[in-house]
Amino acid sequence: MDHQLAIEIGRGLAIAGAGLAVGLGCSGSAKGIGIASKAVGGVLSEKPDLFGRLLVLLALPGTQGFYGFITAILIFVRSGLITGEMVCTPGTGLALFVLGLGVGLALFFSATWQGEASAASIALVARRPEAFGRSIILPAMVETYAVVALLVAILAINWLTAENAVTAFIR
Amino acid sequence: MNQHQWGFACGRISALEGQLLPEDLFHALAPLERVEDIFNRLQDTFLRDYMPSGGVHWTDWTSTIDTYFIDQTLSLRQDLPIPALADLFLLPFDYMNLKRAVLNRGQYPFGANVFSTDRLSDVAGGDASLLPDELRPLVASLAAIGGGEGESALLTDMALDGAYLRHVLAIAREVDAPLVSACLDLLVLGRAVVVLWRGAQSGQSLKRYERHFLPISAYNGVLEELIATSDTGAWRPLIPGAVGDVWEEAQQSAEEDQIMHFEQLLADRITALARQGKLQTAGPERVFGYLWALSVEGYNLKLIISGRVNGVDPDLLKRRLRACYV
Repeated sequence: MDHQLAIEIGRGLAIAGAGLAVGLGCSGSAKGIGIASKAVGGVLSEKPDLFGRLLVLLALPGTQGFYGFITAILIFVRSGLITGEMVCTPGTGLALFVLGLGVGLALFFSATWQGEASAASIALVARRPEAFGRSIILPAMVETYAVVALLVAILAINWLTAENAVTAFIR
Repeated sequence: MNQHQWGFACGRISALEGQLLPEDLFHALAPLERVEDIFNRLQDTFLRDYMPSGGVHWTDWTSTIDTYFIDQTLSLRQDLPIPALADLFLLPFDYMNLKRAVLNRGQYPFGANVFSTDRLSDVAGGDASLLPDELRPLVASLAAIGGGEGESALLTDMALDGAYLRHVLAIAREVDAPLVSACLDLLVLGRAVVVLWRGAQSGQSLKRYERHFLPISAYNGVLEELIATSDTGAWRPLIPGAVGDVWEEAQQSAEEDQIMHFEQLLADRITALARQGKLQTAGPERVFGYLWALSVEGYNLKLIISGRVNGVDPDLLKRRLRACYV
């Protein structure tokens, strides 16, 4: 395969992976916040004084969008897109693509389910405001898996794009 | 339907559920000697906003409680993806208004909700064209009922009781939620049995119910069998499922209490079923459960207040309280 073409393919796959990670992560966050915000709106129409507490629960599903953003930026930086030195092999590009897809799906579903969990916690706080501290734990449990996905993404991107992983191909 | 569309309404309900009166309060109200004491205890609840300053005479209690119930239901109705779910709880008032319209008695004191005052006035004037499709032929047939005023009122009651239950089943189909349908199935069959039982006890020929009260959709066969068996003591094997079990349990009470006990047990069964809806974050089940709880709360309040005004034994009142949702 032509060296330039191989680099192009690798780059294309890596950028697509980054797009999937950020796209799915942000979509999931938007959906999760949408689910929680309906519940918050309903509660606030009866108990406006709970706004401060409910805002925390409402914001929780928003983190997945940022995790997707971090994943995408890492791929851009480590694959050389930002520095202008594209060093992605087709294999690395494919790996980053699948990684982006996997992380994106994990972020999408965890954000959606976190929205559900937040809505349940919002209902709990509406009934018993004093249970606010415990209510955060429920959606926070869902967050764990988004954090795991982000950690795997950070480690995998670093390993896949480590200098010794691609130097042989460049030479 | 997407459950999340119910999110806003269910969020409101999460906050409103905290205002529902607990069973302990009803037990505390039952022994109070004077209505003024009950009034003072209720000043700490949601009802204080509905009590005019200077206190409420006991005769105003029913309308105060009904006004609160209707206001809450109408307010929630605006936020529901399927407003008919709230109509379920407004229909009893509307059918009382409709009966007044059919009998041309003027004024509609129960708050026109599902049928507007204009429509009711049209019905009173002989024009039923703006009523729902399923009600038009019925109202037209009621206009043709002859006989004295008592006879006319009796047949109108039969026909409107049947129409009300059919309306409830139509809403159950529209809502299409298994838990709500299960509750409404209990409600419809239970109410139909009570209607026939009251007819039998008042010496009416049940055959007339076959013509004016039926059909009630899936329960037509069961109800036809009940109509054919005039001895209410032999009804147990004919009534299927949970309603049959409740009927059997109610038969253990003293004869004069049986039907009241049946209605109480049936309401408690529905409450127990409706409580399962609390486990959902959003959905029609939550809304149904809350509105059902509100209706039970209104019933219990009326029971306590009218019972104390009439000097009913507190222990008897406590036994007749319906199970609360919270």
